[in-house]
Amino acid sequence: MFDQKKVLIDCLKGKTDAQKKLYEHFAPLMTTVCYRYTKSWYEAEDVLQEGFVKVFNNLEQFKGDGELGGWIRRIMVNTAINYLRKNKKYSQEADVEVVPEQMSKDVSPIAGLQAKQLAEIIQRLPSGYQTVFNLYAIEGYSHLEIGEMLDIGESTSRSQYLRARGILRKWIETELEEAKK
Amino acid sequence: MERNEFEKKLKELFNNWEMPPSPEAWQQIKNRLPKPDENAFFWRKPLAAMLILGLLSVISWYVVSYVNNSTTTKRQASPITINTTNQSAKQNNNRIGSSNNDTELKKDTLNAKVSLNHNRSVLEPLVNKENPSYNTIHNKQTHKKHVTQMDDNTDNVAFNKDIKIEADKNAYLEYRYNDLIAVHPRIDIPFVSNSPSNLLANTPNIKIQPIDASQIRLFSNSTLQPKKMIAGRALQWSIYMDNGASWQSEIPSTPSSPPDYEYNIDELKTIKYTYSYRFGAGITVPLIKNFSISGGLAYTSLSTHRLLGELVNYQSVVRRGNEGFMQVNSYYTSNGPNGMTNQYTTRQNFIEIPVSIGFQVNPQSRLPISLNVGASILKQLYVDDIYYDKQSNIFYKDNALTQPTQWHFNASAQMAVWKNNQFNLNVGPYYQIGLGTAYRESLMNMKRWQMLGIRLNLGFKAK
Repeated sequence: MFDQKKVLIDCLKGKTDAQKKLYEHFAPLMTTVCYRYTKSWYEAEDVLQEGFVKVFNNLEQFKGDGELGGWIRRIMVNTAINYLRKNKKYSQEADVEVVPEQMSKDVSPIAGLQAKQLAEIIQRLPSGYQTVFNLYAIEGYSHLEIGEMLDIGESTSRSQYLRARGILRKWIETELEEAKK
Repeated sequence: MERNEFEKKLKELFNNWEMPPSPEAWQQIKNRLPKPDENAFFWRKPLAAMLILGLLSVISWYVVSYVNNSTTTKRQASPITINTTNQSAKQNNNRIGSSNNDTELKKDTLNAKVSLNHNRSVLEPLVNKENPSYNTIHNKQTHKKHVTQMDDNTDNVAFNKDIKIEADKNAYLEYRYNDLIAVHPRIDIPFVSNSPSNLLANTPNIKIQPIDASQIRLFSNSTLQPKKMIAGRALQWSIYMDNGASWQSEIPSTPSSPPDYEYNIDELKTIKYTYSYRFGAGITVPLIKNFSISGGLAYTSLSTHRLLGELVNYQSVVRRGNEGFMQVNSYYTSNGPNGMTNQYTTRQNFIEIPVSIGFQVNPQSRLPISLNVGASILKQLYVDDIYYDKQSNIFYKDNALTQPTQWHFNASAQMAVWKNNQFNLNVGPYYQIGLGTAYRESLMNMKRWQMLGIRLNLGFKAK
């Protein structure tokens, strides 16, 4: 039973047992969050570790006015962005075929995929596209917010998202077709 | 741009996706987190202890004799004799019956006769004649063993009783007279053996000698706590404070290099003993057997009093040893008007790094004593000193003449007057002497510091 209030109080006292409890409660979800922003499990775990160190070192800043999980998730996302920036992942933009965006509301392509498969497909995107896609489609940030976070223009964020979406759609369809064969 | 079903579906899919990280991840995170509990242990307890220690040291400085009387050994002026002899030296029959399996017998059992004689005039006021008794302490548990009767017909009050003693090497006997307890610290030793066969072999040799009166120690009942932590026997932090008198003395000159008194810029006759102090913290690490090594950091303030005349704001020339002459803008005369003198306190403050070797003389005793010798390096932080110039017969101030780095030798004896499993409070004399001069060699001033005082040391076990 995870008693969040008690665990938080004990964590603030620096009790290792409580820190471990909090970690064990949130780490599985946060691992996948970090995985979506990086290119491998190794990188994801590096970001996860860095993120949790920040969480424990700044826990007194959590005001309790929102969900603890959401607060931790924001730290993980910011840590991942810093990690990518530090490792200059943004500059490593691979050549990708730009696919015209079709604003389809069709969700069928992803219906046949598991989360892990889908995450691996997203990982194949250039880091810039991957980050923008994650921030907009999954974290729910607006393009204005994403622009501020990544130090890019709002329109750049929007265009990168549309391109990423188009590329993903094509890749997902290809993946499904190969799976049928 | 509104999010469509694609994003919603995607978000839902990923928000339900979990993957445990590798088991090593937590260890990595844990290693990078601060350890506030240890920090708290490291800083808070010493801080609290320092405050307590400061208070205690002030008290001890003024009432040393009172502290000694109330917390340390009380020796009886009148002769008291406790004779403890093994009379029958019989083993417990049941244990002999099982002696085929020696390993089952962990303790020695012995019947012995204990006789107690003491001068009525000394102890009678302390003794409830109706109910004198003695206890044995074994494995931290007190067992009331016996009640006997006093003999009212002699000047000496005595009892002779057979007792059965179960003892291992950590046990000892107490003789209790109401609130006062006499302890013989070594009474247990002859009973040590590991098996019935050893016991048999050793029994004829059991001789508990009559105890000299000086070996009997009377404790207040409330202070009697067996098996406490002993300084120097475990890794421990300590905080200490020295209060005492400091002075300067001439370093004896060797025949080959007699001091040049013509250049000597100071004289001993004007220097008085003055209150000085030191406080510091350190760590003690046990070495082999009863030895330990200690090191730490201390703040030391040494001072002297000088008697001199009045301040004259006028230029004069003084000689700085063999460094030549120097002009000073003000000086003190050696005598005031009508021969009156003023007292001037010179002071040198240091940061000090002492290292010492300790030896536990009697670690199993209830009042363990440790002897410590060591050396320290002192770095001068502050100086306010005044010098006498023999040629012009004036005192002048110059803070550049002292030796900024000095080496000292120190020695102390410490007795643990209070202790429990975590803390011990030790008190004892402390002496320190400079290994070189307190002033620059070129000044031909051969004086060095000495300090004699009382050290109050609070030790606490490290985690």
